[in-house]
Amino acid sequence: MLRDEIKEIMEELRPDLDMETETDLIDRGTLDSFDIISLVSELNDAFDIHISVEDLVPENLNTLDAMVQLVERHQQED
Amino acid sequence: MKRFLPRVIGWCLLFLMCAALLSQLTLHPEEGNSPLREYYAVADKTDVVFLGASQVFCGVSPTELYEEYGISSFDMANGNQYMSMDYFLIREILRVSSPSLIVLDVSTVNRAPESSDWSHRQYLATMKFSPLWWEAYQATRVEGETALSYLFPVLRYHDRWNEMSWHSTPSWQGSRPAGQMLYGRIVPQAETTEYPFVDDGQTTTVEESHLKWLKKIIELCQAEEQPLLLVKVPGKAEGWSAQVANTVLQVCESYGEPLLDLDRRLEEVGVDMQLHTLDGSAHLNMYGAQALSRWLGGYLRQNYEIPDRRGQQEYEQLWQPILKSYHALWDQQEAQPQGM
Amino acid sequence: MLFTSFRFAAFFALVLTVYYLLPGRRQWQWLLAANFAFYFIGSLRLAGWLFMSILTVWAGGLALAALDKKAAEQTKGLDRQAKKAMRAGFTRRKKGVLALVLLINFGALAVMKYAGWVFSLLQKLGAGVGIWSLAMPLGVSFYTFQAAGYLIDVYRGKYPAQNNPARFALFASFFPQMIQGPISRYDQLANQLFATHRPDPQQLLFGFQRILWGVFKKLVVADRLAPLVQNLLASPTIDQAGSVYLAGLVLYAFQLYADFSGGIDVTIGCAQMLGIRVTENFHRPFFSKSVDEYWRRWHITLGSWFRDYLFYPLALSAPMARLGRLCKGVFGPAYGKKIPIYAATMGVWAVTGLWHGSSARYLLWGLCNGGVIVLSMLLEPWYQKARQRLGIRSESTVWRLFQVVRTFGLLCLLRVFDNAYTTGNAFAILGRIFTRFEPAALLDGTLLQLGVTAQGFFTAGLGVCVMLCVSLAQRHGSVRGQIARRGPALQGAVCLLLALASLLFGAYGVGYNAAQFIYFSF
Repeated sequence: MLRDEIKEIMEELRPDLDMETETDLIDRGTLDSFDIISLVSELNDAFDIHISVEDLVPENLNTLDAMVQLVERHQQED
Repeated sequence: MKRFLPRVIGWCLLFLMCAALLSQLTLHPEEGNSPLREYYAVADKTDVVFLGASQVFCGVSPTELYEEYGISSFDMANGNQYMSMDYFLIREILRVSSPSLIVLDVSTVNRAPESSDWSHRQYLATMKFSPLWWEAYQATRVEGETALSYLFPVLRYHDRWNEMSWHSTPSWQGSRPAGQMLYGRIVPQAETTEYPFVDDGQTTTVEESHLKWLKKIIELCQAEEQPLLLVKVPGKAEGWSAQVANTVLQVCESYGEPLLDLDRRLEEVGVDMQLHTLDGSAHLNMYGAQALSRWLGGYLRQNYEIPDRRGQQEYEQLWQPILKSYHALWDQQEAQPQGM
Repeated sequence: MLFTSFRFAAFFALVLTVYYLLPGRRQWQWLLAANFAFYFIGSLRLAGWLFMSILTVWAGGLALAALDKKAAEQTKGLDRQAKKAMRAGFTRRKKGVLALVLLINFGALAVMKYAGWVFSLLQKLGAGVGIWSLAMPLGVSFYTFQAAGYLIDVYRGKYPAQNNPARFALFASFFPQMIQGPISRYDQLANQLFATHRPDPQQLLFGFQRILWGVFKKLVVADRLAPLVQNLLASPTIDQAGSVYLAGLVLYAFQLYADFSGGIDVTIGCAQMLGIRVTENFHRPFFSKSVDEYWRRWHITLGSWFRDYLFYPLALSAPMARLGRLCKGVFGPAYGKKIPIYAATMGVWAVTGLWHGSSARYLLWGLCNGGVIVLSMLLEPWYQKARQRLGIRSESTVWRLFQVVRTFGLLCLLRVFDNAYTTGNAFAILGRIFTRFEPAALLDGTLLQLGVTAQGFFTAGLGVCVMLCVSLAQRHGSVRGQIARRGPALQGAVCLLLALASLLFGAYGVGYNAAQFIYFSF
């Protein structure tokens, strides 16, 4: 499932975070710029989509659910 | 806002008061020590004003001039006094009085234009505030200086905070009779000193930043019809040479002003650089000042209309204490001669 | 105009007073007038560059908006494939507009910064050319970035372009930011600039306190230490003991921070008094536990600008993605996917270095900083293992203190490039620190011969202590807020004390030099 795949990617990237409960990952600075880039390149590779800079807003990456929606949107568009 | 503004004004006033207090505490005691301060008190009883730098306050003795000739004069001279300051001082003198004669020593006209700002600072700190003050400030200010620092000296002396004291008494009160400094030391001119200057009739370039002020002074006095005497006090002044003398002479002649170059009349004046100098011919000592002044008085009496003020009550009231102080200082210096 | 001059104080007092006397709709126009007055007084001959920048970026914004409109119209009613193709065409044209405007602006900046260096290099290589260089207008490094950020945001569709050139000019030339930033974002600043502002005593007082704080830091600490930094670290000859250079670098850290953050304080304070909130640029940077963290707490707006407009686009670009796939094949998935990030980081740091100065030495500085960050990322797993082996808990105060000191020291060493007369001198200084330390030199009076007297060290030291106390107090919330809670008397007293301290202990003016007063010299 898409959600689990994304969760796995996040767990590998930041094993210290519990993705089910984390909110405001961007707003609170929990994910730094390197984390964001690592995550997005992984997502781009894994799902063959093209998330670009314009998508790097808190609304798209603050929670696991937001990430899922982001990927789904790009899967439809690209 | 209604309560806010009055509070703000209150704190601002408090700040200004503290700044004024700090200014008083950090003020350097010498700041107000320019001859100008004394001059304001005697302006209406002074017929001749001498302007120049250390050559003048060492070498011209107003007391001798009064004692021997009844000429009431004043040495408006300070260390490092440049032509620019001389110009504004003359304007200030003319603003508050009308002396019979202004005598300007041109020794400083070819000095290196370094920026020792102390002398100008002292004058500006004592000059009365007027549009002239502002003009003088603009013309002579040093880089980094602010006009506000004259109103709030803490802006200038704030680094003195660890020397602060409640009083700031100037050091030479009473020890400058009509502006003269008495030095009793005798340091004869060395054999190798090139003085008197050897004249080869040549001219040379003279420091323009000073020369322009000399020209302005001449023009000013001519415009105001103020009698002006340009003189070169005897001595080996910094930057001076016979060529410089020739150049300055040319400039003066172009204005129709004579230059009384006393370097070239040492014998006539009666100055002997074996006895009359405190530093090997750069400055005259008190003996030299006496000799020079006794000759100069005669010259002035002969060539200018300067009244003899001896016997006039106002002038005697002014000069008797000065004479006393002069003689006391003379005796002191004879007992324990000092140099600059 | 210097922030710490009477001129600026008089200027700002006038701007502020009239600002609050004007009706709301005129306030932004008055600010625009103030911007121009400030710029003309500071940099009249070079004001043309600012105008060029404002004009090209504003026009670029309109062009992008026009293209967007056209794209929306022409893709109506098309099927998905056609829409995609048409949109791609418009995106290409938009890219062209963006590229052109950025090229003009950054090109001008690059030429201004590096023309002199390029020509001197050519000269050294034997070409018979003279040295030609451009004078840099005030704030060019900052306003160029601020305007460029706006244009890139418009390109990305973050907000609509500003039609009114005067309003855009106000954003692009906001005078408190003209000297050293911070670099603001359009969506954070613009609305505030155009809004109506009524005088608010709290904001006025807080703003004023902030200004005084900045002036205090600049005069009492930064300007005090500046002569030593210049004489020691910028000297053409390197002949002091290593310990003296290290002390100099530490003092430079304080001087630089006091100077830069002090200036920013005045900027933010002035804006606050005008009712405008400008982003912070510093967040107690010397308390950072790693170099990476430091650069997120020092000159924050520059870092975030590079992150949003250079690092992200670079790291997510197609070439980087290809590089990542390639590296995964060569180095395995774990490292391979990190390579593009390291490469992008080094790229951004190279540019950061070039931004800081007009000499190769700054490029080296940038690469060194980037290198340290990349290295610490690479070595992180080993660090963790080492810490576990040694039984160090990462939450322990001792460890955290060690991290802070280590980071501070490392950055002091990296800053050697800032002032060094030549690159060689920078390395010579580093060499001396490690090979000729000679701690005894710290006590033999050398430090008092470099332009700062014992009294100067005392006052600067006091200033640094005050700064440290304020930083520590800040961890519990806004210091001005804490003071305000204790009553208006304390608020007033703080202002008074800061002002008097700056007056008495600041390093300004002609100064009194006891040796200068030689009363009867001639």
